[in-house]
Amino acid sequence: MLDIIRQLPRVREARKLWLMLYLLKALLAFLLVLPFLFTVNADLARSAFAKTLMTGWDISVILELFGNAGELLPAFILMILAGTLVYMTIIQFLNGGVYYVIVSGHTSPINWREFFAECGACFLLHVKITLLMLLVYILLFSSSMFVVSLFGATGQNLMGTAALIMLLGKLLIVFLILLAASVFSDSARATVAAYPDRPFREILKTASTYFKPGFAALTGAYIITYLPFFILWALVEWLALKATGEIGGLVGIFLEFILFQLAAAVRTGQKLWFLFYLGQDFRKTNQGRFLPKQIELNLDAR
Amino acid sequence: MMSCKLAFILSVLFLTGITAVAVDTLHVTAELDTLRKQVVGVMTYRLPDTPEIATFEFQLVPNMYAERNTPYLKSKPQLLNIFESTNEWGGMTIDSALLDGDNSTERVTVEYTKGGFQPQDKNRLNGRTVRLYFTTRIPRLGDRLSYFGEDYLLDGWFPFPALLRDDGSWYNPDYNANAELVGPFMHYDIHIAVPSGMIVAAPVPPESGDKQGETTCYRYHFGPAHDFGLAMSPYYLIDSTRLGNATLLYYYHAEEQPILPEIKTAAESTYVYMNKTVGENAYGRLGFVLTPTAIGGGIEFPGLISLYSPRGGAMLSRMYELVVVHETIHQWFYAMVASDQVREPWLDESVTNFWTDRVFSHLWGEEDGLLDLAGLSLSSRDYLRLTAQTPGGAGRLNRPAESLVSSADFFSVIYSHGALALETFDNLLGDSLSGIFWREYVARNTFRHVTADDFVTLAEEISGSDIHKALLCLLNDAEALDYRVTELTNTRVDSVAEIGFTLSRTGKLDIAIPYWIILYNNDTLRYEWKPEYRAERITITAPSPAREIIIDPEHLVAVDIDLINNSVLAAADNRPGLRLSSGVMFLVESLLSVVGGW
Ligand SMILES: [Zn+2]
Repeated sequence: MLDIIRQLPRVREARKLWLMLYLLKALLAFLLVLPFLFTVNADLARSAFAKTLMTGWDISVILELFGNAGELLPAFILMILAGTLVYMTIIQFLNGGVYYVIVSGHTSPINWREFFAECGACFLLHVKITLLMLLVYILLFSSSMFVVSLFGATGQNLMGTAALIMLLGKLLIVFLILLAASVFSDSARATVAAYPDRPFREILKTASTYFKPGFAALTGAYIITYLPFFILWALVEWLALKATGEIGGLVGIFLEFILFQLAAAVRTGQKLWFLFYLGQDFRKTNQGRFLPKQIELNLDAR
Repeated sequence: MMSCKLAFILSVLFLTGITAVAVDTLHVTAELDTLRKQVVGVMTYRLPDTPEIATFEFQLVPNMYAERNTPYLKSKPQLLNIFESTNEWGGMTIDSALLDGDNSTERVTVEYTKGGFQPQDKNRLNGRTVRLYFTTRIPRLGDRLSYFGEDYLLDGWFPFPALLRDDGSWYNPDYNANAELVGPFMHYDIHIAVPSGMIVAAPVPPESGDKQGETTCYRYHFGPAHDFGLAMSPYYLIDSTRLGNATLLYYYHAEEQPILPEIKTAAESTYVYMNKTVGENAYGRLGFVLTPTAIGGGIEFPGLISLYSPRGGAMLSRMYELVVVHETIHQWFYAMVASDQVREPWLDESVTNFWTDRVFSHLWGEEDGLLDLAGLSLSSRDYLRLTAQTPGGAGRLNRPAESLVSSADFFSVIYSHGALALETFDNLLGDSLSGIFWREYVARNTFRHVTADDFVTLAEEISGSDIHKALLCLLNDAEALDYRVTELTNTRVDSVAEIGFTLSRTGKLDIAIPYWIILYNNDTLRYEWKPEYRAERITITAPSPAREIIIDPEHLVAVDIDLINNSVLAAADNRPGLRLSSGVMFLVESLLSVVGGW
């Protein structure tokens, strides 16, 4: 626990990296939303029917929009899928540098030339990990759904809140299984940073040697870093509705926008925080190329 | 079985004296064979004295499930999948037929669900007695006819007569895609032997129950009704409620106990509301059975409702209550006022769904929270508007079931668009006429099969020619209805404002539509537009310029396909669009975080 909190200063040290990762996400989302804004605004700006959208999320307005922009909807979804693909590719490039910083522990100042050199060198390995994980997620998702369905009969007659809790419980199980998988992929990416020259099979082997004994602790650490974000996110949702409902108008909408972006930025910070914890833990057993020169030269061995 | 037959003979002697005029009695003696998953039995019917009848036609409904290519299964891929995987199909065969006691089996013809009987002698059939010995195979996990484990749902399980027209010809419905059963109103005298220990749910309590060792024979007398459904299970628990003179019964399994309160609340409030609003239910008894069929939702029979055992996502909403309310309303529009669900399905499902929406707002308010999760709520009316949107537009409402091939299109047009069309009609009637219309509609048509003509004629009688014309348009015109207001201009002329705007419409609804002009000084001017053209430029002078104009401000035209263009603002307001986009951007960022990890 203390080890996790000790990583917080590092997140602050790496704030440029943090900012870059957040801005990349925000910029891409903004570009994807622009055509949506123009289309939707053409319908909404002159209609009194849209008024309720200024204070709450009135489903009936959104439904009317769906109905009329029905043929545009698939286009938006396709565009967002394409945008996601572009984002994934850029992230696989950046992962090289990011995991290098994290596993090496050299957070301040970040040597950007080194950073981007690592990005280029490890790009293909990170793409490989992503493709592999895609397969793993699909398999895990379907099998965890199966596990959940095994005790599906229990509670199937619950209604209302009780049913919601049951559903959340089932979702939590699926979430935990997928989370463990995502921690494994982080281990694999950390291994790439420490041993970039090893063949892919070796990398996976090292990653699982590291992941197997510690995966419960690592998953726990992820949840600990995730909780503050989750609380903040809930707070943002609540404050945002207050901003639009009580302050209202353009100011309320702007405040809500800022709050949303704050939540999005903190989500990026959360991942960074967790990875700094994973990085220092990983280094304890897998120093790889970050072995201090003295040890490498056996200077303390006498 | 033996005792059943004896009871049957006695009942024939007894009943001939008391049968109500004009409604015939159908006698069925049968036994449920749980080993073979069959019902074997005999149906006896004395053909009426008038009109002159040369042939006899009857229905074998289970043949809807007889093989993979039936017209009915075409619209039910889910059902077809189950039958193909288990290779257990339903069906009905006529083993032998007697006419006045003489073997006439070779005079019977069967094609799909249509049975025919041509007597050898050329004499009229009036007053003669037909006996059909039948075997009904029950499919595993069907819809109307179904078994699962030791639970059974029996509908259309014995051969029953087609509908006799006044000219002596028969109407034997084509059970195509999406069709539901259409039967004549009859009295039923039913004897059925089932394994002892079965708890049987029927539209009436049994008049007797003789236990003969392994089997128990129940005798029911029910009618007038156009169907006789049964459900049974050795595991049923029973609960009941008295509502005035009526009894509501609930047959459920122990594990379904937790949802009973929701079912009871929805069923009882609907029953009371409908009794009060459209007239007392004629049967005064209604059973709800929880049956494990293949499909979600419920199935209505006269005096009996089959509900699926709820599971999963439906529990997070009032979706299950929606089903209960809907099926309960069928006890008026279906059980009492019957219609041809094959040729004019809107008289059944659109009317019922319109009332479902009404009961929902009555019970839980306009924002009835059909779905209410994390601050987002969807009302039952929102749900109708959402599901009424079909890719090809709704099209004509008054059409046969087979004209809509997929279940989704059928649901969209008949259930959702139809309910909105009838809501529009009801809005045009207004509160006072609405009450009169629906009460009269039920009173006049109880135990009758209504047609679209009956409905339209009554509307004309009660509401006059304008609403009558509007109703014809809502039923028969395929063009979607949309009212719009555009091009608002304010010009200052001397000390007054000259307000100009364009009203336009698509669709042929010839009815005066209200519109409001809201001025900058907050006054509201109310007018009506009786459209003679598709679009009209209107200019008015007012003390203050107009801030907004709304056509149909109270949503009379529930079928209007686009409500966003029903109003126009003088000054563009980008805020709703900005806010929605800001929310969507956060959503996209969250999506990117999930897939990219950052
Ligand atoms: Zn229905």
